Amino acid sequence: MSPRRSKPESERLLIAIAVVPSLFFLLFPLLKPLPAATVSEGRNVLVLASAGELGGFKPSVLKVVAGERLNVSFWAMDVGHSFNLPQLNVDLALPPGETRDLSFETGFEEDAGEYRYLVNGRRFSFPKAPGSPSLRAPLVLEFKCNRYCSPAHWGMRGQLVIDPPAASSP
Amino acid sequence: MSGPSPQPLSRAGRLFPALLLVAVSLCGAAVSLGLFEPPRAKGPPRVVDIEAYQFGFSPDRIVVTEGEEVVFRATSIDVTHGFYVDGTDIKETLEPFLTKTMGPVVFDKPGKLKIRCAHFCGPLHPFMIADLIVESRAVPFFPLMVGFALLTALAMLGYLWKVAPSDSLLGVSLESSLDLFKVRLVGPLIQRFLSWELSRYVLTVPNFWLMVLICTAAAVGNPMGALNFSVAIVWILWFCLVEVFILFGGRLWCMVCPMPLLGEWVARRRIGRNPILPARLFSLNRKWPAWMEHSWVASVGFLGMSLPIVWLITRPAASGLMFIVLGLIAAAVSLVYDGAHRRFCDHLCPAFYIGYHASTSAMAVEPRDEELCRKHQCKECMVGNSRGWGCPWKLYPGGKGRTGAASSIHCNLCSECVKSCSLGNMTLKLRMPGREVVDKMRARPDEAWHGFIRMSLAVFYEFVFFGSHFWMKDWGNMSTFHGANIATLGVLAPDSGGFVNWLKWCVLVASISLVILPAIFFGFSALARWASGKPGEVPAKKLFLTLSYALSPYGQLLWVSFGLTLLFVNWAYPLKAFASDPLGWGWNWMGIKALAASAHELYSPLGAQYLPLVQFIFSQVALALALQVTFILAFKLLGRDRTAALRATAVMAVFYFASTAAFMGVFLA
Repeated sequence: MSPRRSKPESERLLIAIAVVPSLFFLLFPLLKPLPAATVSEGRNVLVLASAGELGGFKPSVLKVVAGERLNVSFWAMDVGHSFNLPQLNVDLALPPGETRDLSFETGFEEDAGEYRYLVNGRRFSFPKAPGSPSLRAPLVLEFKCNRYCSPAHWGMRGQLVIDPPAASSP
Repeated sequence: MSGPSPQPLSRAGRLFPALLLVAVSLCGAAVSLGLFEPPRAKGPPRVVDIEAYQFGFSPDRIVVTEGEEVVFRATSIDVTHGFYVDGTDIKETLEPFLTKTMGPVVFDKPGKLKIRCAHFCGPLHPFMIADLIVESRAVPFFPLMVGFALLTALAMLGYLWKVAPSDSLLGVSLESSLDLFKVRLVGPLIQRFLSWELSRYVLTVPNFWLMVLICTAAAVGNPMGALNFSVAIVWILWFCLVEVFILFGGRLWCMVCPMPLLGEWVARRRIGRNPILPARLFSLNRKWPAWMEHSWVASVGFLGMSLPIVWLITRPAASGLMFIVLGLIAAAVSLVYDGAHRRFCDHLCPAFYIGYHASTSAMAVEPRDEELCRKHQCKECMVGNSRGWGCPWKLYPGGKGRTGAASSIHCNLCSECVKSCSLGNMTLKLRMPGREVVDKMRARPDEAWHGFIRMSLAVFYEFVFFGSHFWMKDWGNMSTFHGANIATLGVLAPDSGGFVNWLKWCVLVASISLVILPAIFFGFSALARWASGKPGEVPAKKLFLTLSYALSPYGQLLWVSFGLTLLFVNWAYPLKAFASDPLGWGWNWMGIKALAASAHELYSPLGAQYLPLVQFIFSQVALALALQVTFILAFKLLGRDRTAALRATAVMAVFYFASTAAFMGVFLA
């Protein structure tokens, strides 16, 4: 009598049943958070909002090339926050666990003396540098959380960066 | 066992305890449902100003009079909070520094309601609570309810004095039991299932998957506890159900527990199928040290888990790390010490309290005929054969004492003995709850302290989680504000002030449950020994340790009442975690996010205004059961003398009445 026979086929099946769903769960981190966004065209970005200590706005730098439309879904994953961008007069409350959408229509125009960015109908003009008239600086708008959310609330901030369109540079 | 009863009992006499408890429950219900409603008060509404902060309200206790009109004016002084009053329509969001006025609302039922936060405001959000006391115009509410408890205690003593036989529990014979394998239709199915070699595999593997998901969610899921699968499932759903299940199913949860699986699978080198004998276990097979042959580590482990409990059960990172560490310890123990004997469960597991209370439970694996077990020399139920692995706890079904009818404490209902018994002698029985406690004539300090720790912590948990005292939550919480998953573990570190607070908290909890409560209990048992008139019959220490087994049903029922409160208030979190969004990442599985999200958003505790009544009923049953069990234990210890036993029970009744009143004070006053 051999005390150690080879494993029966069914044992392998049982191991597979135990292990495969576990691996499936272990792969969850590879999936992305998916709050239901209602805006679907244009460039879509998901921004997690959590207390400053946990990372604040993630990602905190939102980049878009002028002329494109940027759709952002904000999702407050812990407590209530807000998205405050004074230069665009936006103060969007983000209640905990809910998703709020915001879009930024951007545009770019220039003439001999200056170049202008347009964001949601607002104009931001820059004079061209006399020495190098082809130089275009990106438009940087600071945004922050405007609802007290944690001791590190004051550090919960980010930037909306609008790059000049590639075609406009020589 | 034959208890001499003074006279043949009428049916009504036998059922007296049950009738008594129904009567007291009805009285309590009548009072707290406001059936005696007085006329309403006239006059302008009263304005109550209240501030909300992380994680409490100020003032934390508001007293209004029955029939009075109340207007709440609430302001959040830090983050966004919510405002919810049990049993009313009031549900508002409090944005920072914006005062909201709510009401007027009339409270026409006396009792204790709770003001809760209805908007997720941080890890301790589910426990952000203020008390709203509605004073009765006629009779003071709380003293009246304590009066009912006194009535329960006195009537039970009268019953024990006049009629109680020592072989029945609350009027039902202790010997009544039901062989579940012989139940028509279902019985053979249960038997076939438990005899099937894969039955344990089928029961444990889904839990193994869930444990992996729990650890994953703890690692990367939402940092807020209740929104994360690990915390919502373990500390709300499991924590409640385990307490309820102990009563009916004993260690059913241990039967499906995934913790020891890894070690067991590696040691057996099989995960589902039965052994091919002779099975050599892949383990160092060291002998378990003799000085570890007790459950002190387990009982103090439960206390140790409870010291940081506020912090632990609200942080996925902390919970997840604890499960991973426990799983690794369980595996290591199987691989180092005797692999066929699962030492972890008996000696180390902090959830061994399930075993301690299982001696109260209604279900157990028992032999049909103990004599047959004694005659059957091969003991295949212990060593295993080709049909089953044999008992992982090496319990001997034919023995009295540690095993046999008194084995529920250690038996995890794994059914290996049902599989391996070639005589078909092992079965699953329903028995009178508490049947085993009254057989406990042993005196084991580790188990006695299990009783003390569990009883004092039941009151503590109720006080901390559902009380209104913020300082207590804050001490237990180490004054931290953040949730964290394992990826953001760093933010959990408390500052030194919070840590010092937590140390104070540890000293408070540990000294009460390890020293003060046992000392009080010892005092009462010594008094009982003296009052019985037969102090020579039993040493004080033995009486003290043995009478403590009455804490098993008593503490268990207090815990059931706490667990139900936890689940009924917070049911939406486990539903959301299970059905739509385990990681708290805003997913929407199964399309029921709308339901779960609205439940979470609107924060709708189920019948929260009736929970104190439910707790009242449980505490009365606990009181009655504790007295009955004390009586039977004292009867056996004091030379089967009814009068002596009754005197001893009367002294212990003071202890149980006082502690019941204290517990009621937490949820009613």
